[in-house]
Amino acid sequence: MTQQSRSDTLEAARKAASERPSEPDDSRALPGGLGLVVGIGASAGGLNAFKAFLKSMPAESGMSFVLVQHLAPDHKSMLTDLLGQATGMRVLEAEDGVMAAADTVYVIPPDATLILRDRRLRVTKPAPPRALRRPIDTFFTSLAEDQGENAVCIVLAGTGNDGALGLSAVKENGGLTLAQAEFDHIAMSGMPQSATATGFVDEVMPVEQMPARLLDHQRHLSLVAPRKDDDGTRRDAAGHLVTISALLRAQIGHDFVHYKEKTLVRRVQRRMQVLQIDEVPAYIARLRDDPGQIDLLFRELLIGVTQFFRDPEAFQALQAALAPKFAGDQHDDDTIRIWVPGCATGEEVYSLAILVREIIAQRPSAVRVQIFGTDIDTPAIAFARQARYRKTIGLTPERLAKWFSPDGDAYCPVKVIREMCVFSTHSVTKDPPFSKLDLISCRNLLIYMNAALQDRVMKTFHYALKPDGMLFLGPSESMTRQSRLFADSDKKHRIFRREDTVATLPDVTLRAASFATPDLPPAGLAAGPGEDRIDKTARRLLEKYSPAFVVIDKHNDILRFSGGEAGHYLEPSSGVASLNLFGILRKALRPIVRSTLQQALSKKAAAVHEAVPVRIDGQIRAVTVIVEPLTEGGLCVVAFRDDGIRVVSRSRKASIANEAAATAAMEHELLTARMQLQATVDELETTNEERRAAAEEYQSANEELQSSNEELETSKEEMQSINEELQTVNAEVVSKNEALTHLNSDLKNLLDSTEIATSFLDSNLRIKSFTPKMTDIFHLRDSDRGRPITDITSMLGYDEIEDDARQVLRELSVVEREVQIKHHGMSFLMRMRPYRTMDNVVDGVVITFMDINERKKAEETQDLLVRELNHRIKNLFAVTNGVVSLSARSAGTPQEMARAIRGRLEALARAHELIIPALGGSGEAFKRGTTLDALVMAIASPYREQEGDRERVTIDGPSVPLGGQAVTSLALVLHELATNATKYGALSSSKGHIAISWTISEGALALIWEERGGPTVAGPPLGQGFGSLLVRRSIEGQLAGVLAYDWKAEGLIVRLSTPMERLLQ
Amino acid sequence: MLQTLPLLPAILIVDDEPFIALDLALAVEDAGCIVVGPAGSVREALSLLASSRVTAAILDVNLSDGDVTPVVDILVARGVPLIFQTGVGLPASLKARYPGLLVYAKPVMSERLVDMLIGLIPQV
Repeated sequence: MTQQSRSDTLEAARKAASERPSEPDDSRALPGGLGLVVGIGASAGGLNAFKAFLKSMPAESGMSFVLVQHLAPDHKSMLTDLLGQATGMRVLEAEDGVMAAADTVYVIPPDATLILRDRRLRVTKPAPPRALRRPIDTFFTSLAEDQGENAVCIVLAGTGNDGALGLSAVKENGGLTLAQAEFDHIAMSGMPQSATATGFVDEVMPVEQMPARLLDHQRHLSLVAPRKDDDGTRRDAAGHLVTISALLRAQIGHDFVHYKEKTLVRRVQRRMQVLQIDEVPAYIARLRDDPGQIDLLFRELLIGVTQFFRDPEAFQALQAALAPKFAGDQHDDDTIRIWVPGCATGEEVYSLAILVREIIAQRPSAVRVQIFGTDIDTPAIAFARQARYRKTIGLTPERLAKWFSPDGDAYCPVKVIREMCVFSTHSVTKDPPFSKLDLISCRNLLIYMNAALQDRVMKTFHYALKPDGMLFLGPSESMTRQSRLFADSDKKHRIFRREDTVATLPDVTLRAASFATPDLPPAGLAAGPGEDRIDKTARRLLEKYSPAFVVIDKHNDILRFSGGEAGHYLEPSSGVASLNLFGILRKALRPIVRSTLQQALSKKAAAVHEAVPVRIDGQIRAVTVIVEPLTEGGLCVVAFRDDGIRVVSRSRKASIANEAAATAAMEHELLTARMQLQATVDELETTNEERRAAAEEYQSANEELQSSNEELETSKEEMQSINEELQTVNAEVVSKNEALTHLNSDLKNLLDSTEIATSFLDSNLRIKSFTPKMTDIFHLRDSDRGRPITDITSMLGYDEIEDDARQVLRELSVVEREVQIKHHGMSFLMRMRPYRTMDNVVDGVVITFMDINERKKAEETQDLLVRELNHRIKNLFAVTNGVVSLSARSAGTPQEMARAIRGRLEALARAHELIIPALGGSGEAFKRGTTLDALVMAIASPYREQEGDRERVTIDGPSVPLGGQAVTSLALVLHELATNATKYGALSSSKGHIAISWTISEGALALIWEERGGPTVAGPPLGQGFGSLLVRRSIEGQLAGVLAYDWKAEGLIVRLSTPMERLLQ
Repeated sequence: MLQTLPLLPAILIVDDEPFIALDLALAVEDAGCIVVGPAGSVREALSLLASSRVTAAILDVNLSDGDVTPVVDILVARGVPLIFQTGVGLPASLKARYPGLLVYAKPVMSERLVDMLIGLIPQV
């Protein structure tokens, strides 16, 4: 019973469609005309879905396809080319004004809005700004409005919720709606899921199965087309509505019998389309088998479309009519109560709230306003409570800005509006109404109801309204039959004023009969709705002459009393009050009525039992009991006809005196009884009064409870959403925390790996934290956190630390100092910097201590190295000086001198090469030595290479380590010997040969230099040459050795020995 | 004859570099003096001091077995004039102890050094 229906607009749309001049090839009706128009929406990841769909779609279905995708505005799409490979149909980029042709796929161009009007594609460029861009919704909505039942929309993969709104429109206009399944008919997350969440998706299925579904749908539409009326409803469905509504009533408990036939038919027809059922009986069978289908049909019946300020002029008129209610004569604690039955998703309720707020804004008033929105559609009520509106059609920009706050892609009413509105699930026909209302706004609800139901609802409204209350109806609803209850206030805008007649609340438990007997005559002569004054008078008169009766159902519960006389035959038993006939019938009548009733029911015809004696008002009267079953639903009429006072058969005459006495006694008793009765009646009346008052209190308490419940519901929802938000925030915090933990561990590792002792001080120079290295150096413990830094400075030979830290804080400068720890003499480079937080606020000082002991050591080593090098160079110059000076003593000519100097320097250089110091090494490296064989080899090498065929110099001896000083001396000795050999000895001849050999014994080296094959040696040379002098001095002086020359004729033999300890110097 | 000959100045040469030591030795001999040494180490120099007459001394500072301070101590104690020829200069402690010592940085012409030293020997 969704009360705001789209059916009127649907009808208008259809009318407009039929009035439109039809183009030659445009026949919307199937078959023979153009096929379905299928709108397909997708976003990220939609390409594969598109392809899969087109691959399974036969090329000649007669349908037109329009693909709408979220495309980057400045990027040329290749979609057309890509899809052309997947299908045999033409794939074209949509162009403005093109008629959607059969077997063609149109693709939305980039940066454009695409809609369908009169089956022509309309392209407008550029697209709206990104935040407002919902191309799929836009297209689907136009598709729904343009094509109605002929429209199909499919939501494929994509993120976000574009398409959901458009899909609802397609469904509302009778089209088919499909969404892509992830698996097993579970909607894919993202767009398909959002679409499914609306409840308007007919089927969730894998994309490959969709083409088959479309073909079935098209076939079904063409099959049922001939059975439709001009306005598109099926002629063959009406006859089955009784059965269908009986099924609905049995399962859902709502009765749609009173709904307009066409509306019902259209909704049933749509369900059949979705289910591909061609025949109505088959559909009914399906409903019987599958209770889920009944729910779906019920939901279909509840589809409603509402918008804000629908018919703005009417609302304006209502505003004017309402305004006086807020005039100054109201009391401050008064409440204006408004009821919107059938509020659906609440747009009308909020519209009214805004309306009222606007009135109050103009004439400030402390009047409280309460608007009750009710509907029987629980999800719709939930939506209204949530109040997140994406569609704000009908709201002027000023109203939207003033009364709504944006929330994501939706708008929510501001608090002051939201607080006025109370929503609850409630049926206007089943549940007791609200009361003492100032206004009832019930628009486009009555159109769903037949006349009888409308009358009932009108009476309900009449009862619920205050004496001067107003009723606001929809434009297609009028007040024809109940004009006694309401008077026109504004005929054009359907605003009515309650007439002050007696308010009667109709029986809310009315049970509907059937379509076959829509005007079930009221049982007996009870007042019918259409009765006038004459009828009433006549009826009252007739009652005197007709028998008293009751109408009972099959459980013997009384449904109707005839009134008046019927009371004679009733006699309530003590105990729980009951309407059961046999509970309240006079005991004397019970057995007879029971047997007569059984008789009548078994015969299914009237049964009569005459002359039953009953004592009424002290007289025994003969009563005839008549029982006749009614045709409908096991109801029975039980009538009692009074046949007058029964003739007393007793003819014995007692004494008159006796009788008179008895009469007097009885009269006295009667009087007493009457007085008691009177007292009881008075008491009853008082109790009744009290009860009435209590009932009213209950009612208002109930309403209050209802509204508190609603408030609680709202707060619960708020709590839930806050909870969700908190959860989101929490998730963020958790992930941030994880990131921080990572960062922290990175930092810790960094600090550990740098091995720089670091401590962080707060602005009071207390230790906030420190690194492990700090622990090593200063023996800080965790318990030292919070201690002032001056506590640890006692270990440093540095008392100005506090001043320095304060200076750093004051000037934001960096202080660097070399400090030493007193007790172990380690040196550190201390650096103090301001501690800056992430927002660049200085909050303390960072002190680092860099261990510079290594550096100091290295510096010292380097210093040493430099000095040593300097020494060596100076020494070298001194040696050169010596060589030159010595050579000058013996040389005859400058050439000779030069040669001698060069030879000696060369020998020295070779020796030096062998002991070249490893610069940069430790001090020990300066003492690096070599071995004797290496030295001999190095000095002899120029001579060994002279002849290739044989060794001219042979070397034989163990490896003997040599110190730096010994190397120089020995090099000099060997050089001088070799020079002499070249000049005069073995090396002067080509056949000459020198054998150099050595042995070690008794801690001394013995070396033999033996020349062979040279010119014959005549003896020792005359006078000692300078070279020989040098050799002798070196061996005997430096090396403390012994030197002996043996001038043999075959060649010179030189023997030298020197202590090993000297060699190591 | 030997007794009548006036005693020639005996000059101790301490240097661990053979060429320099030899060059100095020849320069000392050229100057008509007797060469004591040359010694290449402190130990050698000390043993020469113990066994030989020394009139004056030419010293290198850093030797293979340490610096020359012990030798200087004895020479100074004996009042023997001495002269340093060094590449690195005197150790601070030595300089502090004997502030008046003559120090020549290498390289120096041997003849000049010897002349200088002879000039320091008091004439008998």
